Amino acid sequence: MNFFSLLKTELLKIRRTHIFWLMLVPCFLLWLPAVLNVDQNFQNASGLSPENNFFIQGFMGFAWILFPALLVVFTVMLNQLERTNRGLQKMLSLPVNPGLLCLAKFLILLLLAAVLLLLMLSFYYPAAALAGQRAGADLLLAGDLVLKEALLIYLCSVPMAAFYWLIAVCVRVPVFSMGIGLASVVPSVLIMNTKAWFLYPMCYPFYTIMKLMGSLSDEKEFLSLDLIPWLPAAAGFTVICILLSCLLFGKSERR
Amino acid sequence: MMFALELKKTKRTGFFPAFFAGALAASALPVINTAARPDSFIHQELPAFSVLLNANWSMCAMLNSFLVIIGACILYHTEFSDRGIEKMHQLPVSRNQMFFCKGFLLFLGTGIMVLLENLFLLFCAWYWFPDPSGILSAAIQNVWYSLILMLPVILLMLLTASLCRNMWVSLGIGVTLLFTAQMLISSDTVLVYFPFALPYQFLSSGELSGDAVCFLAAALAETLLFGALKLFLTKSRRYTL
Repeated sequence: MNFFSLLKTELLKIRRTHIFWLMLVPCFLLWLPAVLNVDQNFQNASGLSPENNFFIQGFMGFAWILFPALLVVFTVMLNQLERTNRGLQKMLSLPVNPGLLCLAKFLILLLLAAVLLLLMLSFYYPAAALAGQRAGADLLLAGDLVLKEALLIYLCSVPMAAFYWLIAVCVRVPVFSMGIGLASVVPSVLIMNTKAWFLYPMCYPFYTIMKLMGSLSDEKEFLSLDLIPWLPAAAGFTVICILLSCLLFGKSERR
Repeated sequence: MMFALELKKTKRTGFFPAFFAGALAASALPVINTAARPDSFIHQELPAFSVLLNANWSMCAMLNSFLVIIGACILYHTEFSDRGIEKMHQLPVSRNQMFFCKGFLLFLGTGIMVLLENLFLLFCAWYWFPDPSGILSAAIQNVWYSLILMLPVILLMLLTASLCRNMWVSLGIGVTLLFTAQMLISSDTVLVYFPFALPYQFLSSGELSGDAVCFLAAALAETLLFGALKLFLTKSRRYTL
């Protein structure tokens, strides 16, 4: 089987998993209080303009908890789909390369993350329009700032996704694979403020949004990030995680 | 007997080790946080335990909720994988009893976590703060208070897990609930009594204020509600998502 048909099979597998609703509901719930409490945007202490504050507050909660936690849910799903009824054993008895299969699954994970971000964006615009109507002000951010930040969050989440996928592949006991994933979300607030933040991929999306918040309140153009220790660290981390997960994929089934 | 059976089922799932590891991770947060910048904490006007809880309890509460979500998922996952639950239903065991035994297991796990976290908070207060008087009784009160406020989370999550055949669905619902709670903690409406928002409350002074009594009452009422809901659902509903 070539890589493309592997991807197609993986897409077929997630068709009836209800995963779309599990993404849709939290994205909706996230913007609901933002629209209801729109007045808070006009008296925030951070010195942001109301439209910037509306955007930042929404995406901050998303990047800190919801995005990483839902990535963990996706990995659990991708794993459990194969575990039930020994699906992986059957899959590996076909002429497929386990490494390629693992890579296909990882790409599905990235695809789900992309869908999640698209959902988030597609809720942002109506929410901002509606909130603006309620408050009698224009809360829609002009230009491509929103799209740029969303793309940045997505790119930053790739190392994190690779790490979660490695955990899901290596740790066979579901309690621990879920536990490590979800527990790693919590300390990102602490680690983000240290000097070694670039060594902890789980805080990248949150870090970019905090940086953006800082640059917006200083009325700078767009966020300026120090790429030098960060980019090599992130790239190295991602490559190592993907390689390891491809090597270890289905190890106990192949024994 | 039922409880012994449930305890046996958790043996190879890593249920208690996970809670223990989670407790250690959660307890490490205040220690690291205080050790990294003691000056910003010890010179505050408030009593030592209040300072520590203000700075760290929200992270601990989040980890506790995450662990309860995972624990509930795994307790029912062992039943649903390989259709164990259908076999259980054919035996003369009560489904409600099974549910509440699992609930008690989760409660024990949470107890381990809350106890360890408070012990480490005590250690922080004793080691770094100049005047840690009266802190022991405050910690004991906080343990009881937190445990009662965790009850609605435990039952609601277990209820969700018992209704969903696939683990990722219940996990996804749990994550959504936790995230919703995150937005409601600072709400000034009745929504602050949302089950998953309750664990973020704490008792720092060792005395029950009016607010604290309200939170306790809400927690107990929600616990009874979810328990009753389970009793009703076992009667009326036989299939799972």
